[in-house]
Amino acid sequence: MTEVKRYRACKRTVFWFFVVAFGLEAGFKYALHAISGFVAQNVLIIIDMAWAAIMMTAVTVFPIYILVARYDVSTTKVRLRKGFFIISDQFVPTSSVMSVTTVMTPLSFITGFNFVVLNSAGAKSILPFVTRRQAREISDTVSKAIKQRLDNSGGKRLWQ
Amino acid sequence: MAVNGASARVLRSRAKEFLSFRQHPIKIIKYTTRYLWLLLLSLAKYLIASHFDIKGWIEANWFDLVILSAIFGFAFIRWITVYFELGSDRIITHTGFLGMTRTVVFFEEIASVSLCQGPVSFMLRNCTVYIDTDAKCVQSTDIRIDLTKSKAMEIYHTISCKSKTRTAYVYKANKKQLLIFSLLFSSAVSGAIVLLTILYQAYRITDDEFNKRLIDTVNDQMHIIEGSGIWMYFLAAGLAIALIFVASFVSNLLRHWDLTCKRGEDFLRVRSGKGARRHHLLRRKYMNYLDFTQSFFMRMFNICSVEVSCTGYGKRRKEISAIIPITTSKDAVMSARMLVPEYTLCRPQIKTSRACIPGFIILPVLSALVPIAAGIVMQRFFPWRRTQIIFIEIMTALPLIWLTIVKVEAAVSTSFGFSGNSVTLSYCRWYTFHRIALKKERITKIAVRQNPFARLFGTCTVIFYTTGEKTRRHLVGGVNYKRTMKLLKDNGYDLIGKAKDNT
Repeated sequence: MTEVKRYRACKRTVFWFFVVAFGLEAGFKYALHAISGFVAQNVLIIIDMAWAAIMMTAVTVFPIYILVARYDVSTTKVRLRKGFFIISDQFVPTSSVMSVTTVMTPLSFITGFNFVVLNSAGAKSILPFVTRRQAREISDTVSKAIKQRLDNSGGKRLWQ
Repeated sequence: MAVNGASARVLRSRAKEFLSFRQHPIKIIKYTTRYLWLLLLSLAKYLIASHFDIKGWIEANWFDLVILSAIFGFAFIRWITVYFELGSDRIITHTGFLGMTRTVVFFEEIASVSLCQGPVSFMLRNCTVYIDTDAKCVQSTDIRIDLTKSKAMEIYHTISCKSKTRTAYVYKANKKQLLIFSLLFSSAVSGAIVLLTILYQAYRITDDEFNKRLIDTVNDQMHIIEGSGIWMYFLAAGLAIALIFVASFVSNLLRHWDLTCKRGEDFLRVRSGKGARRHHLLRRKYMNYLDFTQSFFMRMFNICSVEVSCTGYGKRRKEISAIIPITTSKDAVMSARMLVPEYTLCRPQIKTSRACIPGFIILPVLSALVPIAAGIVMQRFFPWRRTQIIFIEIMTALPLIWLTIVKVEAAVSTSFGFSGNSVTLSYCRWYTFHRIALKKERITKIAVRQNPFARLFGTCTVIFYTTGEKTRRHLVGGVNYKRTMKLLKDNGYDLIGKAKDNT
């Protein structure tokens, strides 16, 4: 029986997302002020309302996404739970994973903007917003499973 | 004299050997630039204008002629440098710029081989050979070379020699059945009918409108404008479309005419086409799944065709990945069982029911209501355009109403089931019904999706991802959530199991 480890999305990401959103909001307001001299008032109101709708949706949806996201990883399978309005439970057998990609963005040790991508033939699974340690651990576990599979099958794929 | 004769023989045999590993000479023309004929036309025009004064023509157009010679020279050098080697267990090709790309493909790794000929290639006895492996990182063909028909067949026989030793079953398409069913159920024919109806209605409306406006406004100049007749353009467009559809239908039919599919030890050998025969080899262990496809009408009359997902097969232009063309469902199932016994259809374990109909049709119904509502509003604002608005309204709403009818059938026929190592998925994608037979190890990912409404009614959508060159999702929608999770768990896909928290 292989051990299944559960990873949850990094909560710090929400804080940094809010910081980025606040920066974007400030920049947008400044840009709106700059163009207010030569753009009609009603157009400005429409743009402002649209932007407010986008920001409110993002600010509401992102924390829900982070709260919902969880990844169960073992050497035989990877389970993902993601989404905010439509919740999706996913199952990826490690026997179908061909390679693992780990994306670590600059300052991700603070922000938590790290991603692990499992590349299977005909499917791609993304495990977003994990800490650096978690990203390394997940990558190592799946890589170990791939190596084990190749050793057992003499370098051939399982269906051969 | 004898020495000269011997050396001539040696030279001839060397030339023969040299040519036998090169592509068909027609490739030299293909290697030249596509719009070369524009330059040739201009040169021919000058030659005619100068009354075939060759000397004067060369003096005036020497630069163009140098460019032309350079293009042909480069094409010739490319033809010389691109060649292939055929071993007992592998094929090696030297392709790309001056043959710099060397590709080695072992016969054991080949997923599919296709030998294709168009009408021109058929007359020139030229054949394009496509060799694909199951390397998922390569989306395009691994090897593509243009050879003489005999050389292409030699490669084909070398690769398939193992399969030839034991041909277990041969499927032959019934020609009469193929012709009748294609005529009745082809989407090209129904598409042509819809398009022609649109054009005919447009022509009628335009003609009536035009006449009315002519009488009202330009009575005195009627005889001038009458001749210009805008309706003629619609009629001409209708005729052109009808001709294109007929040509497309006939060429498609000829491409799949006389289809035979032989089951060998490790390959399926598919041959089809009238005149220009197409040969395909599909390695059975690299096949991803079988797809029994049906349109709504085909479903009503129990007709279907069987397609196969195998790397390289059916991905070329105007090619369908069929192994059994349009035939009765019973015949298709029986023949598929004989051709590929490793793929079995299982009994559905989870099915949708009549209670699921609202969930399936809600989106098509709402989409169909949009053009109808828009048409009613438009009629209030533009009452003098009533005829045109009604026509556009009907034409826009018609496909969506049809989709609603199709989805009603989908709501009572969507299902999936497992049996040992086999999986069968029945679902409807847009207007087409699919019944997929695949093996468990070909599933690369399973996702179970629920929106708030589905959570309320206890249903979900199961998405099966299968191996293949491209991402192919099989969406089985509207199935019971609890039963689905249990069935998936029983078959080794535990989506919501326990785990040790490691955050």
